[in-house]
Amino acid sequence: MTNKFKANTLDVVPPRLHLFSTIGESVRIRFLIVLQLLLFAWQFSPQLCTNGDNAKYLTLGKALIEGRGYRNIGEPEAPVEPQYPILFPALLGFAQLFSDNYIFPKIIIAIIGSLAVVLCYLLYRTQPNHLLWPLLTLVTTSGLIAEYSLILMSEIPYLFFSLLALYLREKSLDKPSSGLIFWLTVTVSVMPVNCRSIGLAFSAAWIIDNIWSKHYRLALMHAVGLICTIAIFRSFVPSDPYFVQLIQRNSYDPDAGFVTPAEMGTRILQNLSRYGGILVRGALIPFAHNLPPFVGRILSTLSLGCIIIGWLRAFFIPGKRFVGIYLLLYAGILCMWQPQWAGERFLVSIIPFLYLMLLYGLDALVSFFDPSVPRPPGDFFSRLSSGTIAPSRYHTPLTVWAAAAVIMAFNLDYGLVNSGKRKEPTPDWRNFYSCADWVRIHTPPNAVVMSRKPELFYLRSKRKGLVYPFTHDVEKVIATIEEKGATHVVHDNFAWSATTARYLYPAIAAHPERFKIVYALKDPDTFVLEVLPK
Amino acid sequence: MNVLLFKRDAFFYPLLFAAWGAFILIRYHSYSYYNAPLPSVSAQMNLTDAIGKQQTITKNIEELQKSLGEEKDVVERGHIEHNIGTAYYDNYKSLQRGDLLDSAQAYYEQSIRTLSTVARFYYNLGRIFTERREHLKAKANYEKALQLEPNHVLALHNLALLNFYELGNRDTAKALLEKALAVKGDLPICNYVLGEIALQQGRYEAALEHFRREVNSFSMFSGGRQSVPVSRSAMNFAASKSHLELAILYSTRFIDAKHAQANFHAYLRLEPDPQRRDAAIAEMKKYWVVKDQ
Repeated sequence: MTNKFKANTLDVVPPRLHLFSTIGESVRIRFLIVLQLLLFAWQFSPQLCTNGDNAKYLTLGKALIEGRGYRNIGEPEAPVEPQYPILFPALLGFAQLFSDNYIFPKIIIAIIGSLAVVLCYLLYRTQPNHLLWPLLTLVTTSGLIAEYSLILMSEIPYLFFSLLALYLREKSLDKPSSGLIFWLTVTVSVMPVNCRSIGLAFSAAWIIDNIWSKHYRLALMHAVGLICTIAIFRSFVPSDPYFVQLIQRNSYDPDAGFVTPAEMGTRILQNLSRYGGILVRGALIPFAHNLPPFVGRILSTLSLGCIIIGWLRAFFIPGKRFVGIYLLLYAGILCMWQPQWAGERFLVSIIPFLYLMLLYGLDALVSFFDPSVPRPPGDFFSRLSSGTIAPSRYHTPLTVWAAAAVIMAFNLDYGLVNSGKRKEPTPDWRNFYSCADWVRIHTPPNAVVMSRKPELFYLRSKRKGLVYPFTHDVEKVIATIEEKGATHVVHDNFAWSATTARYLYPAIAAHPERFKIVYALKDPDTFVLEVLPK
Repeated sequence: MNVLLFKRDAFFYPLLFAAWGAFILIRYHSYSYYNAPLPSVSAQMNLTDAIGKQQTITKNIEELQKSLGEEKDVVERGHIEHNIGTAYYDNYKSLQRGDLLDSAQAYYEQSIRTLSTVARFYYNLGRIFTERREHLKAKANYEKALQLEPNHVLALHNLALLNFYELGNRDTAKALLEKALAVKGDLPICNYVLGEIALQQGRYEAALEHFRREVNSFSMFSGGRQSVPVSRSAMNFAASKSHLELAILYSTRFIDAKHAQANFHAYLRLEPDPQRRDAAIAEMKKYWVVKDQ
């Protein structure tokens, strides 16, 4: 089966792999989607992930469908949400119309995750087979994409809208006379930034690339849409906590002030080292087991090297410049972010692009060192990064597939091992949730509970709540209890956080007369304390 | 044909996703996000016993010390040092080991060197010296706390008791207790001590009133709702002694057998020491006939 689009990518069209030469592309992609859904089903857990952001999205969605506005109804004063863009909570709000145990919203997000693979195919179907199918296989089996497709976080919808916008742009440019596709493209292109704030990188890349390519209408209309949506959102909430967090030294210690230019430079270097050294590899090739450190270092070096070569190459491959600009801007924002928040999570939304760059880089390297491949003119650097390197008939596909198979094995292992961990809560979370169950049954509906994870506690207990202030001044903690009208306090024993021991325990120990244990659990010790009147 | 996948697969993918969603819904149809709470360890658990458990306190001390290593802000460091001192002091109260009291004192003193403007730090150091029976040092610290926060009700309370029981300054104790009660009317033990002072001064009606207030506030707090962190055994002692004094007053000065009897029975219920109970019965036999029960 020939594909007329293949000729538009690399200058020399590579031969098809024998393995799939008789199987239609549609059947292959169906196979991949079925495989992905099987993996999702294996890893699916009805439990809510414990990171807290998901609970906040669900609460905001619930507020929207109940007609209470874009408000944190889980907090005592139900303030307007200033931070999270509205699109993903609205999506979850819609999904909650059909279910009250959060399984249906999870199904919706998982399907969006699968659709992202289909979009990857549609977007990169013009790539040579030895790049396209390894790419799709890697995206399908990615441990992190599977994980985030099943935990109600905004990364996967963001990825979906990004890919959809890029695909529609391709369609719009293909059919410039179609106003419908044009306006649909513009509408979808502003969705990423309204799904996650880091979508600003997407918008900036969109504008730059379209201006560079002389598609001025797309750039202009996107800018108008972007300004309108941000202006509408900010008209309700003037302040932008993300911007403040970007320039704060430490958001957990607001009194520490703001970073100086020199500190920002240090922060960027720290983040570069962290992402380059560990996190990019962790997102693309996650480890489920403890491996010798040298394995991680070697894989980090190889993957990062390939990504950098692939990224340079993207600027020379027709139609792929956008990805190069986008990754550059995205990395720039990540590097300015506070180092304590650096994590693989922020890379989930760009995993397909990173895999693509990795494969471009690998393809370039193998072809570069293959004597049978004709070399383009130019120096070493330009030859390596050239978009016109022709792959060999045998070595390049085999090497790319071998690398993809190794990466896929790591991802499958990660997904399967971690799925078991997500199905049952750990003892500290089991007790925390049991406290929420107790509070839901034994306290009045207007009770206010202070706990380490008030968003998750609210969903389970249906009682408003707040987190204790992170201060060692016990009087400030007590004053917050008074000010917010907290009626109960949860003294947890989380293994992953020591803040209760650091901040809440001293307040209780200093004022035992203000608290009374009303519910207690062992292994680990966890308490619900009633706040007594003065 | 391959340009738009959905043309060809318009039915396949919706059906596939619907089937997958249905499978998940059926697989977890019995799952409920909301569960019954696990059985509680004890409905009437004492806060100090529970939170002050050895394991919990050790973890808390470790975490606070980690915080101290990371914290650069002087004010926060002072609070952390003080909180570590309090954790050691709680540990001392459950284990009664001298080295824990030494650690508590060291951290309290360090916190005062770091941040010298918080009354609570001096008050807690004063408690350590009271525990060590170094009354003059305790007094100095309580007074320093009161300089910084004149209405620090616990410093007023402890300084008053120190003056009354250990230093013999009855008038100073009386003034401090009256000030403490003006700040917090339901402060435990104060009325008992004021009653004793009134008895010593021969003001029997005032004594009767103070003892009555003491037992009333104790009955209010006996459900666990105390307004300040005063030792429960001390509150119990003050209430039982107040009942005994009331029984004697109703038997000798304000003849009222019914109230005398009720108060004496209340005393017998609260007094844990059998020897003291026997001594009280012997005392009361001077005034009226006491049944064996």
